[in-house]
Amino acid sequence: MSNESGTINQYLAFKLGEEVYAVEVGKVREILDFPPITKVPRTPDFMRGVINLRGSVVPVVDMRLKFGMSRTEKSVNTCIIVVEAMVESEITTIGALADSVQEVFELSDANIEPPPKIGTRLKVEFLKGMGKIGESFLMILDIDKVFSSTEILMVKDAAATGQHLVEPDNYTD
Amino acid sequence: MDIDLSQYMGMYVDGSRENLDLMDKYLLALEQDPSNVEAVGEIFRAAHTLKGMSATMGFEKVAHLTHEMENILDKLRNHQIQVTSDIIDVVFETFDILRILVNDSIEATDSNVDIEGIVQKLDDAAKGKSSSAKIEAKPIEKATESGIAHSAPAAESKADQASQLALELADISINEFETQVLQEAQQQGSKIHLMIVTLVPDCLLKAPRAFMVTRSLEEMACDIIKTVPDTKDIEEEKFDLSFKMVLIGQTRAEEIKYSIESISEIESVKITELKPEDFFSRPAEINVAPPPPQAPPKAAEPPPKPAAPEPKQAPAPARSAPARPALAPTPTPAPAAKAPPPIPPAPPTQPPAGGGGQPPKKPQAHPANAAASADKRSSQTVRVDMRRLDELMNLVGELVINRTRLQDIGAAHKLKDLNETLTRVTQISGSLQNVVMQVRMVPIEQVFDRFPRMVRDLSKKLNKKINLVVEGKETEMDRTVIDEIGDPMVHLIRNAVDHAIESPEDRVAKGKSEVGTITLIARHEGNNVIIEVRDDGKGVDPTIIGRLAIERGIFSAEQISKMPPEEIIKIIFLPGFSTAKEVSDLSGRGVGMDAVKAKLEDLNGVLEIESKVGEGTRVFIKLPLTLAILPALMVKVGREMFAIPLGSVQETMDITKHDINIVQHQEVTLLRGDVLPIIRLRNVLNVPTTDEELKAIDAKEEEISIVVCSSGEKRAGFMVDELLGQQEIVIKSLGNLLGGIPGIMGATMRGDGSIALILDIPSFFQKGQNI
Repeated sequence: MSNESGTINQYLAFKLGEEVYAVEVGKVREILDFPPITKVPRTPDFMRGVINLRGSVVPVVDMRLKFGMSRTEKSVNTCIIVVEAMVESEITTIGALADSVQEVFELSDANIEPPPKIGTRLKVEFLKGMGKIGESFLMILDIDKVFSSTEILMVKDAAATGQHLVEPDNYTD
Repeated sequence: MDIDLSQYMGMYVDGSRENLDLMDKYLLALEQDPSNVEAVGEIFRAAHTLKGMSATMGFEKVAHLTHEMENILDKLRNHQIQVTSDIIDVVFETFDILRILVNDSIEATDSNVDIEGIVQKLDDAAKGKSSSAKIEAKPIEKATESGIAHSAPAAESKADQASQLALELADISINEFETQVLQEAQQQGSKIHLMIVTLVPDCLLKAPRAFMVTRSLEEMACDIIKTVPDTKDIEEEKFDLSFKMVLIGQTRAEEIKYSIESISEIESVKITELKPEDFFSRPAEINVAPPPPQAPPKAAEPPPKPAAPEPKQAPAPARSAPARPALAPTPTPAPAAKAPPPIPPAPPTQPPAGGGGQPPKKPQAHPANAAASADKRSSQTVRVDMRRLDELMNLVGELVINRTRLQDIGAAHKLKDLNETLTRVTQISGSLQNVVMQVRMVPIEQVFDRFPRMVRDLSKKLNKKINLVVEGKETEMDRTVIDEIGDPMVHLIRNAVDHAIESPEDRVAKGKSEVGTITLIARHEGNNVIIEVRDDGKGVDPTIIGRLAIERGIFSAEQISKMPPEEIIKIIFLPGFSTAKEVSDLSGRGVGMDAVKAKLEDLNGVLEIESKVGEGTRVFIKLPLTLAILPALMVKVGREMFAIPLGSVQETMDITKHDINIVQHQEVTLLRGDVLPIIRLRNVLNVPTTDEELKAIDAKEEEISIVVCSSGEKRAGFMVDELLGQQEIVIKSLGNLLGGIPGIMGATMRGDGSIALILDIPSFFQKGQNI
């Protein structure tokens, strides 16, 4: 597969608003419609909740919220891209809520440029690079980093700073 | 017959571990009662099986060591040497190395253990005690012995020999072409042999054994003309324990016998030289031979045969008799046709008359064997990967979900036929779910079985005398729980051995028996399993614990002085108390007790301790039967559904708005005169609430549902919108991304495929937990 222009990989393109992102096809397990999502209390907003994927509980992350856009609204094109990311060195199945799925395309490593230091709304470490297709660019996500452990800490922190509850044991005399 | 051995690897892994465990168990039994010959026999059998399996798989080291181990065991078994603690120690040591070796073989690693060293030790142990000269108890010789024993009747008289040969040939039908081959072979000076190979009764890898036999034969340039059963059946293991082969070659019978017997798991090899005529002239001879000497062996033989694991032989004479005249066109068709009638009547009439010495002997030996193998069969088990069971569980869940959907369709369209069928489907899927749950249950024995050895080793090391009593090891628990409790249990028992039980001198000085007792008890109690570790050691001294707690700054002297002793003992469970080493030396307990407690709490378990200074300590573990399924109360808050584990629920009640008072900004109500704080689940769980809903809630005057939950001593009422009833739920983890959210312990799939979260009630009561 490798030639002078580098290894060719397959990517799945999806849209968040008007922006086009891509993930490696190898990380994608399947694509689902918008199923009912159960909200999990005391999680950050971008954690939309959990779904039942043939008997296993899969958390769903709202990619728009995660990347600082507005909340994803349900439409005919809205879907969940089920990815397998490495979280704390364990393969974890996570649903990524996207506005629409575009296509699978091949891209040589030579056509991937390092991410710009400024000018994107997301953290640079989330990006593997900028893929160049013809004249347009799309953002290739490093899915492991997007769901990396520091990002989970945000989930836990949000849990810890949740609503304060009065300690019931003060009253159990 | 080319066999890929790798496909037997899984079998080897399971089989070897099973045999090692067996050896472990009986070694301990032997140590306790050195006169236990049965135990020696069991260890020997296990070692022998392991040797055979390992040799087949090509794990020479394991085979070699087990072989050496067998030598000493054999001497023990035959009372050539006496069981001493030295020998037991050496055997234990061998056994440990064996475990390493087996593991090496399985993992394809090499731990470089010193095999020769231990072999030397074994040798010394065997020689040191047995002054009587070297008696090489090699299995080859044993096999030869049994081979001789087997063929002994044949040697009695020529007539016997002839008739037995006829019987052995009875189910071998030789066609015209084969006859020709045999005759040609004879003309060329080759020998024709009939070989009967019998495998040991518990042989696991029958086909590979047969394969090894054929390979050895090939090496000796022996051609296999015929096998019974045929080659295909042998390959597919469609035979009991023995198979026959007709061979042509220059090799002498003794050589073949020797070489085949050197293959392990072969119980006996019997070789008879044949002439081509033997295949078709036998029936005639039987008829010609004088009846009296003829009949008794006939009568003697058939009974053991059916008992011996070779059912094919019993019907054989009848079956092949009609075939023979057709196949053997030239010699004596008439007598052959007549032959069968005289033989069958013989057994019923002759045995009492002429059977004499033989029949009573043989049938005695065989039924025992048959009973043993029947026993094995009745307790047959299958090992299944846990993941497959989980998968099965998920599939059953899916089935239930889709059934619910079908029910909805049936109700909506008023399809009577569909509904009737669905009732049946509901029953079946319910039973299916039960069965799957039961399959996951395993006896706690699996955990307990490793403790006798551990206690033995530890007490030897510490020069203590300890008797471990195990009760209720048949208590069943879910596999997931069993897998997890091993480590905490090891911790508790180590503690008891290490710190609780005093040295024999101290014990005698205190007026206790020299031997300390640790009792391990498991029993069911409702939906829980209680495991108790009890010792009669020195107990936990609250004054020492209290002093240490003050030293460590966990509590102030004032706090300690107010605590009752039983509370002070519980300090050992607190993190930070028991990490330092010197604590264990002083307190007698406390190595990582907080770790044990934490682990058990992860499993929804409870750890309790009772202790009396000088008398001993009892540690109780209460665990749910299963981690996978639990009864829960389903409640509704807003549009969300939550499950509250029934273990935490005390009762439910309806109150009116007027029952709620506010004390120090906290809503409370009275439950039979006691103050009960009220927690609004809607608020603490941040359930999305619209303004209208808020108004509706405020307006609700009556029938406000409260679920009274408790954790330890603490109680609170959780306000919910609706009580939906009790349900058995399957717990699913939220995964590592969402795990550890306080208040939520997991999720469960509901009948309609949606997810309900399971509330972790104890976490709502934890001090300083902001939820």
